[in-house]
Amino acid sequence: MKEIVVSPKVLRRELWILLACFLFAVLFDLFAIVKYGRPFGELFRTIGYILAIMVVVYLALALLRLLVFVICRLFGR
Amino acid sequence: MSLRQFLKELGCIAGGTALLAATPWLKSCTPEKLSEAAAGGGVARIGLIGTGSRGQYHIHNLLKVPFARIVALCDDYPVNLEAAAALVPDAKRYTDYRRLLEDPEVDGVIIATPLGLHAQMTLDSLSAGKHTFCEKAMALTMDECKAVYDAYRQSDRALYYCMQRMYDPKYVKAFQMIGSGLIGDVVGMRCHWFRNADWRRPVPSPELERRINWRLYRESSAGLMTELASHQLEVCTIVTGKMPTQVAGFGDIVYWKDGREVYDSVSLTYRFEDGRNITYESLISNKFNGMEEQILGKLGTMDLSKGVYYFEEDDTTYGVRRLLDQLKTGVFAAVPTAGPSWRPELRESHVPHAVMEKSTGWVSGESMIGASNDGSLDIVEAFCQSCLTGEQAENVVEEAYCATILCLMGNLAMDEKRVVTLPDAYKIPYMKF
Repeated sequence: MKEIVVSPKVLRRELWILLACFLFAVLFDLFAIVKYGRPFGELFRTIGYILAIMVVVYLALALLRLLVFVICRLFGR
Repeated sequence: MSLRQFLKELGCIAGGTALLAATPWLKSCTPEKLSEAAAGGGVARIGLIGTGSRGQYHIHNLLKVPFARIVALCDDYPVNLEAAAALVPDAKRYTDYRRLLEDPEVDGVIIATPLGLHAQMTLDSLSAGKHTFCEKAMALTMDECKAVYDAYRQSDRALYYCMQRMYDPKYVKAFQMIGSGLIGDVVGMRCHWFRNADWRRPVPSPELERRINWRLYRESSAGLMTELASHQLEVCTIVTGKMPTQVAGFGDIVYWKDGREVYDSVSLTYRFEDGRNITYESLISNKFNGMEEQILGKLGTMDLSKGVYYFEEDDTTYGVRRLLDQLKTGVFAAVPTAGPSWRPELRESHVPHAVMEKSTGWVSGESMIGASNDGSLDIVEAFCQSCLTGEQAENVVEEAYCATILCLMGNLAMDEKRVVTLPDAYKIPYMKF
């Protein structure tokens, strides 16, 4: 069985992407709070929503990256 | 939560007394008034006429009331009388209700007989000087209702009708919330009660059919309207403070074609003079929709039977949740399903808010006897208190009168397949239009 080795560089990149997703989710929540005039404390009470949005966005990006990777491989780049 | 507990808590909050003004019938059974009544050490001596399932249900409730004692039982059906006597062995037994009414040891009478007997027994009981409690509905005909109402106006005795929603804490709270404008202007009402049961009871011998299954025959019952709709229509008149003046609808025996004379399916629209409507449906061959009383407001909807309300635009929902819902609606609404300009406006999933934090009982609607914690005990207890104080609960008779008249108007509309207008002869000063 082939061992999959995740290099520190790749790991760091994924963590940065995950952090970006988290920030996006926080900004999304902040936007909703401002849009609907909700109290800012809601940002902490909705941490579950933030984490869920983060995961969904990360997975969506991963899918997109996989798609780009497959297309590039197919066209011989 | 019991009604007493609810009233006690209401008395402790700011504006509690003002809230009680929206439900004036509760003023006579506040904990303070009970303390006054109990201070005298008195006991309400109750005679029960009708010892069938509902009568025995009342016995169980009365046994929980510390200041009540059942002293007499009456029924002309020995099986039921014996069953009731087993619960209250010390009570005197009668087979003729007039003899019970002559008993000087009886302060108050509870009438739990078929509808066709309500009016005469109530009139006789008031004439005999007894405080009187009767099952709903008020009577089988509008003339009987008027006769009872007139007798009540002339009597100094307390009279109650078992419209238990008026004593169910979650309904009381909901009435108060609607009155305070929580759901905005009331623009319509939708009530229905669906069951899937034949409404029959086993009969030991054929000659007892009409006595035991009295609900199925016109001589003693007005069917779904008086047995079920009366409760729900009363809720609508309480909420609006008004009386509909017109009704139209259809009723038929759709499924249970077993010799019964009352409809097993009814569908009606009641119209208020200001244009608002109550749509009412009841069916006993499908229970998918259960029992609901929905008060439709401009800002929200109150579902009294479930004790929950919903806002049209829910400000209490998290902003992020609302934004996600909005995005979802935007994405999926853009998909045309039957043409470029149409999409199904399906019911949105609204967030339910509880009327009361502490849950109260409600059942699926299968029970013929009554839900636990549905106000039945509380209204019987209030009646026993009135037997001690002589104080009549405000509006109870008037609301029962209005509800029963509406039920009977509904039956008339269905029988004659026409729009029925409330006759002037049956209007009472209490009614607002």
